[in-house]
Amino acid sequence: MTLQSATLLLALLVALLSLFPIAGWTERICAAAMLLPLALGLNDLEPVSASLGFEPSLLLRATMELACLLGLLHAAFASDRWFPLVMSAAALIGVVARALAFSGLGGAQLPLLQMSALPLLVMAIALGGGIATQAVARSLSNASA
Amino acid sequence: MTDDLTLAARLDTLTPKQREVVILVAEGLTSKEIGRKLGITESAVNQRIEVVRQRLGGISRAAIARIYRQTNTLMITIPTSNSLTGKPIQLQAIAATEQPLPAEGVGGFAASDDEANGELQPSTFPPSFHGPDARLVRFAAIVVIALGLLGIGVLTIVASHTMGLVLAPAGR
Repeated sequence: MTLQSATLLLALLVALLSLFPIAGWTERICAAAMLLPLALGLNDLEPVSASLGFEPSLLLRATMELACLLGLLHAAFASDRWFPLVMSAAALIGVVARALAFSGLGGAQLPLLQMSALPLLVMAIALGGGIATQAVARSLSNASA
Repeated sequence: MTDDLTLAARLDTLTPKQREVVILVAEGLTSKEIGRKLGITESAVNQRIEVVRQRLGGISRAAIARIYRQTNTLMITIPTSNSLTGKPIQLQAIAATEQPLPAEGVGGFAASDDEANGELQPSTFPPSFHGPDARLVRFAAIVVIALGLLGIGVLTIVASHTMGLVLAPAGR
């Protein structure tokens, strides 16, 4: 199993977790911001976009990526959790890395671009960790109530 | 009850702005309604409530409302009963007169769906993330985390190259 496929599976699993009642709006915004770029082929993870036979234009990619980033930043500045901050930071790295590649600033030579699953992996871990922490906090508060 | 009294004492340390939000919370208003009433955003209301919750030890919004009501009851009841009867004040009697709170909060205290899902949870942030420079602090945190992640990524790449373990390139 490659890093990319493992990341894809983890991201899908965490996104599913965010649909459970334990998750709040912050988790859902972050899951959407994590999955939308994936579904539209904005990341370098081919399986989803290839299976959909969808090849979005560069403009659509950039627009959706910006929208997702804004969603994440909103969550990072409005919520009281850590994971939107971590996800925003990871997304920023991904956006900058891809922008460098698109603008031909020598980004294609950056080894980081060969691992563009990494920002998504960090996002999935942050979101998954956040949901797990919230689950533990809730069960502890329920137990003490 | 003793704990509640300690928390009630901490209510005195609140700023006037925080106090007016607490009063409206105790009246059962939602954040949106409080925001409309005070002419501030819902987010600002939530931030003030968050600071209050931090000061009171991370208790829930419903608990803040309950404690504020208790404090009010004490302020009104103590001088009246003392002057009329001259008997020592039974704090437990006051507690007994309170209406029990439903699990989700005070009646009419229904938080919005957003709040029910997230805002009432204990904050994981230190108080500086909710203060007047909250945006700056959060932005700085994002930058620091980004640099940290970038550093970890670069170190991982360097280490894998050094060890001759080049990660598989992406499909594109």
